[in-house]
Amino acid sequence: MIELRSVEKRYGSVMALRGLDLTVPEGSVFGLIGPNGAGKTTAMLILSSLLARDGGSVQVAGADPQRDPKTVRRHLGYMPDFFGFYESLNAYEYLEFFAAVQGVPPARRRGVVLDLLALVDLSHKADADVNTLSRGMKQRLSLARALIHDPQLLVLDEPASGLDPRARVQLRELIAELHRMGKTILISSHILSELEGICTHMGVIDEGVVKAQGDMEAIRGAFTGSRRVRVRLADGDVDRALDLLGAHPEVAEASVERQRLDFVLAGDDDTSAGLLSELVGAGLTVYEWRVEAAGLEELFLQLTQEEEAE
Amino acid sequence: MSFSLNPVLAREVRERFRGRRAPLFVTLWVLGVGLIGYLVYVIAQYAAQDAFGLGQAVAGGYMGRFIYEGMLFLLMTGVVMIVPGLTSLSIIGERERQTFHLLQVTQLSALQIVLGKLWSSMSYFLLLLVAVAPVVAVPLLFGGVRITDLLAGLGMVLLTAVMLGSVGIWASSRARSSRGAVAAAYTWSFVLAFITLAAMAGELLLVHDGTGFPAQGREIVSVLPNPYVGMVSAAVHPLGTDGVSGTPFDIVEVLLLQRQGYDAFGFGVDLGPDAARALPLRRPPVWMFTVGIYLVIVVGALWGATRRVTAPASRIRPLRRANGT
Repeated sequence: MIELRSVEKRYGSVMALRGLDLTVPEGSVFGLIGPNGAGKTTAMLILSSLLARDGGSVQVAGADPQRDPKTVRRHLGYMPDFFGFYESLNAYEYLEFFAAVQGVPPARRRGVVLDLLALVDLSHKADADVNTLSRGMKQRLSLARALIHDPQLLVLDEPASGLDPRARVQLRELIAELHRMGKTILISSHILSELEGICTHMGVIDEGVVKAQGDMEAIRGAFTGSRRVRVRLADGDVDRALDLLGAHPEVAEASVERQRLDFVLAGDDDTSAGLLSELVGAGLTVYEWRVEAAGLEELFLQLTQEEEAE
Repeated sequence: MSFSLNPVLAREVRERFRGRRAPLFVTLWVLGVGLIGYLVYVIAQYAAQDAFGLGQAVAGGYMGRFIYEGMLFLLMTGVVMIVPGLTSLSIIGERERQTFHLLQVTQLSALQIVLGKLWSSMSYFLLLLVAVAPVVAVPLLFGGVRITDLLAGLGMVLLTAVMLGSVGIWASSRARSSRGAVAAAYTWSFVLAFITLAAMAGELLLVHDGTGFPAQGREIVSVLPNPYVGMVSAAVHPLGTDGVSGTPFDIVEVLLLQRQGYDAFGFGVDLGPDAARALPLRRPPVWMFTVGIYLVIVVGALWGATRRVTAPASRIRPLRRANGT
C-alpha cells in the first residue's frame, strides 16, 4: 500500500529524511515510532501529497503523491497531529463540508455523515458546535473526517497525543474496528505504549532513517537475543545464581533486588532452558523463571542505544 | 464540480452570515450609505439652485447626475476600504485555523480553493451592493443619467472589487500572519487608489508646459490603473466626451478632457446625456486601459495564489506567531 525508497528531505541545512525506506503492507496497522524530530511527520506529509521530497521514490496506492496527488488523495485519509476546525460549524456540518470537498455525491452525503458520526460515537453531538467538544471527541471527529470518502488507507499522525486515558482507549478501539473493516492504517507516535497491542507491523524511525521494520513477530524475533529474564529464587540462592549466570556471555545487565534477579538474555529458548537447568542442577531453588518478550519500548531503546554505541 | 457548487464558497457564505456580525455590518452599511446619499442629495440641491435657480427643468437632470456621481464615488471608496478586509484573511485564516492541510488533501484543486475564497468574498460584497441598490438607483428618478451609465459605473466598481479581492487573496496566500496579510492587502489597495493619484500630480508637474494645466494630449500614465479615474471614464461618457458640468466628477473629467487634447471646456455647458459625444475621442478612453490592467492583475494574483495553495509544496511555511516568535 505504501512504498518509500531512499526518500530524502532537506530543510535548509537540516536533513530531515536521509534515505528513508518504508513498506506498509495492505491491511496492516503499521506503527511508526520514533522520538520527536525523527522525521515521522515529514514522512507522512510526503506520502500524503502535501510535501515534495528531494530524492527517492514514493508509491501510495500505486500512485506517486508528487506526480499524481489526486489519485493518492482519493485513496488516503489524512489526520494530522493537530485539530483543524471551522468556528461556527457544528459536527454534522463540518463532516458534510468535507464530504462535499471529497466529492461525495449530494444524495449520499447525509447518510455517510450520519454513519460516520455513529461509528465514532458522536451521533449525540451532531448538532454541537465543534469548539464545545472535548479533546477526545474532537480527535474522533477528525478521524471521521479522514474517513469521509471511505479511503483504503488512513495516515494518522500522533492521534493519541494529549488524550486522557479513557479517550485513548476509545481511540484504540476505533482503530481496531477500522482494521477489522479492512483499512490499512499508518499511525505514528512517540509514545510507545500507544501503539503496543494495536499494531500488526512496526517501523522504528530515528534521525530520518528507518532502523527496523516488519510485522510485530518478526521485529520481536529479531530481538529475541535480548529478552529480559526475571528469576525469583530462595533466600541465599541469589548470590550463587548471580555467580553462575555471570559466567555466561549471553547474560548481561544483571541486577538483584531481594530474592529477584533480572538480566538480559542474549539467546534463544534453548539458551534460556539451559541456564535454568544449570541453576536447578546446582541445587538452587527457582520459584519463578519468566522470559519476557521485548516490548516496543525495549526494542526502541535497543535500537537507539545501538545507534549511540556506533 | 460546477462553479456554483464550490463547497468552499458554500461553507464560507454559511459561516459569514452566521452570527450577529454580518447583519450588524450590513445594517450599518445601509444606514451609512443612506445617510451619505441624503447628504449628497442636499448638496446637489444647493448646487442646482446656484447653477440654475429653483424651478429650472434642467435642474432635475443636473441633480440626478450629481447624486449618481456622488454615489459611485462612495461605492468605489467602499470597495477600496472593505474588499481587502474581506479577502486578506481567506488563506492565512485557513492556515491559522490549521485547516489548510485538510483542504489541500481533498479532491479540490488549488484553483477551486482560491476561486471559492474569491467568490465568497464577492458574494458578500454583492450583498452589500444589492442592499444599497435602492439608494444607488435614486438618480434614475431625477433623470440626467441613463441606465447604461449606471451599469458602466457599477461594472467598474465590481471589476475593481474583483481585482482588489484577487490581490487580497494573493496577499493572504503569501502572508505568515493575518496581520501581515491585512497590511499587504490594504497597502496594494491604497497604492492603486491613492498613491497613483499622488503620482498623477507629480506626472502633471513633469508634463506641465508652463502655459496650461498639463500639456495638451499627453498621456498621464499613472492614472491608468487608478480605480476612480477608470470609473469616471467609464461612467460619465464611456465612448465619448463633452464639457464639464459642475458635478463631483468634474475634477477627473477635466483631466480626461486634457488627455484627449481638449482644453476649451466650460462649466454647466450641456447636461443632457445625449450630448456626451459632442467631442470626438482622440485616444482610447482611460477605462479601456484600466480594465485591461485589472484583468492582468486578476489573472496574475489568482495564478500566484493558486501556486501558493498547490500541494505538494517544496516546504511547509511556518506561521508567524502573534507574539512575534
